[in-house]
Amino acid sequence: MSGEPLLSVRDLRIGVAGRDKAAAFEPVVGASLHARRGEVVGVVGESGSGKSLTLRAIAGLLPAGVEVTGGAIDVDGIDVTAAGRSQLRGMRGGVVGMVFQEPMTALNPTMRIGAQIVEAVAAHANVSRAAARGRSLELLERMGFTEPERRYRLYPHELSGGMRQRVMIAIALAGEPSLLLCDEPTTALDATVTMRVLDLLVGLAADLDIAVVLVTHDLGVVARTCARVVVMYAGRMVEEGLAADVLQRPRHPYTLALLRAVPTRDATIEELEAIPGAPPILTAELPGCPFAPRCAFSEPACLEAVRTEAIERGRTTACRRHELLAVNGSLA
Amino acid sequence: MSSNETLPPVAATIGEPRQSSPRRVGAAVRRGVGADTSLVIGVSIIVLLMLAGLLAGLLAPYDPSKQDLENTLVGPGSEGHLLGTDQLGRDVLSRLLYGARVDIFVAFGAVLCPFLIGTFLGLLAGYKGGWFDTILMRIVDVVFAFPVLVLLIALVFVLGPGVVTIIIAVTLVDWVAYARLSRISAKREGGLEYVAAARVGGIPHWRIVFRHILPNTISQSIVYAMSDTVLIIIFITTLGFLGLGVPPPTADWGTMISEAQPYFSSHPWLPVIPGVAIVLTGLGLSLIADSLAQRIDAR
Repeated sequence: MSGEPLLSVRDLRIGVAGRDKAAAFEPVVGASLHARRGEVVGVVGESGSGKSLTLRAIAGLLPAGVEVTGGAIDVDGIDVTAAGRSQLRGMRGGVVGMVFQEPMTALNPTMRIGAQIVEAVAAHANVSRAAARGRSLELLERMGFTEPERRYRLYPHELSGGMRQRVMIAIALAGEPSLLLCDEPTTALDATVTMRVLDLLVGLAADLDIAVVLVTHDLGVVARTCARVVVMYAGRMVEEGLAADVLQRPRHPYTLALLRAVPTRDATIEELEAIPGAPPILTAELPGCPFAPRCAFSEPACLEAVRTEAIERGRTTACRRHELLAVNGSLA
Repeated sequence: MSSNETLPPVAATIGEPRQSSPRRVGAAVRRGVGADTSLVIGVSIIVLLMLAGLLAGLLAPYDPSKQDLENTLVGPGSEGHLLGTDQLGRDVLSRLLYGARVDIFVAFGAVLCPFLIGTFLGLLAGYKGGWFDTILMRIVDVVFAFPVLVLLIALVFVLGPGVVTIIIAVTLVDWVAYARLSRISAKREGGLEYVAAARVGGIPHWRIVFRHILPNTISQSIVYAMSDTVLIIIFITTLGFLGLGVPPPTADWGTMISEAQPYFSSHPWLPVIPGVAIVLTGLGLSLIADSLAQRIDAR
């Protein structure tokens, strides 16, 4: 849990090319993220906050027309933004594995799951067929499949959503990566299966000593799994810290607003608070805090400038007035 | 390139066939008897016709080119000539069987080359995108701009008649349909997460294209190839009719109809018999194409 972080994203900017300058915009402007081996880091934010794009940038998987325009991404000492094709290919699967949101479309429907895992194993290790098969069965068993020999021969459509997601994790881990990126891995699953998959991920991070980055919009998922959490809003990191601290004592009004919007056993529907207004349009460059127009704590100066400051060890916030929250922002 | 460009007619071959599709007849039969029965019927027809062509040497009672000027224009059902003889006294049944060999096998041969070439290029264009995609699609647009049959006939006219010519001409014109079809499918599949997953997993590009994208897109091309074969058979017989087909005295259904022209009113069976053979082949392929498409849709 100490030493140099395995993954280090600093002030990442991602730009989308448009037909001309006016149509181009930056959906991510200053995302920062660090993950150490053995650690599960959550990235939360609403749709369009740039969390999935950040994750895809780490995997080197940005769609055509979308590219990194600033900042740095270091994975295990490799600068992903500057890496050449061959370096990137070596990194994929071998250093970075990725789990996707939709288990329906993330597996090839025409291949048996065993063959898909074997393919992923063989892409990174020069092993015999038998050895690759053995490793695949081992992975299936590690993913909690009973009778791996039988499951091995099944097609994706013969599996449930949770099973598919576990196969997906097995494939992502086949190249023995040290960093596992998960893009909303449980959003498509029902509640009980979600718990199972999350517990599996937490167990894997500890057992295999790998870093897991978990993108989600579900604060409950963060609470259950993550040691640390990064909150993103409008393409920026607004708050970072230990999950317990951030969720108990948020120091950014956006985090507080998110927490107040979460249904709990004690709150009635009427007590849930929606966040007023809408996220900013990203084509316009904002000098100040992007959340200021919707923020209950904002003052005119918030629209002028924003800076990220460290408030405790490993705890940062992008709110100028975070001290106000320390006093007033309790969830009670 | 935007995805809202005009789709080729082939894109409509999945699902309910368009008005002009060779699958229309197959669809009508399938609604009556169900997809499984219609597939069985279609396959049976084509297998029987292929066997007839393959075994023509054994089945045919006469040499298909052997003339017998004393027994010309004998009607069907007469002794020794089940389907009668033509104006040169050649046995119609024998010519029909040998004609099956030419028409069906040349048609399948002629559909294979454009199928392979077009599918390969389309997959690459759809997966890779960029300049290769742009250039390939411009070429496809140019070829598509010409009326197919006119272009084919012009090509055969330039290259000279013969089986090889037919295959070359069809390949030159027809690959574009497969290229468009597989490009669109490859683009669609390429956006799905299993392809992204394979890329993150460090799987080589060629393997992603052939092991992941190809098996998920090929079924549409196969369905189209079945419909396409019908069109090619019509094309081959049209060439035969125009005197540009397989050179005589080789029997071919189109040539048979063409040669029977002067006897249409006096001996109607002469053009009708090869005509029925063509229709039957078309029906068989139409049934196969349509029932296969239904299966793919059902998945």
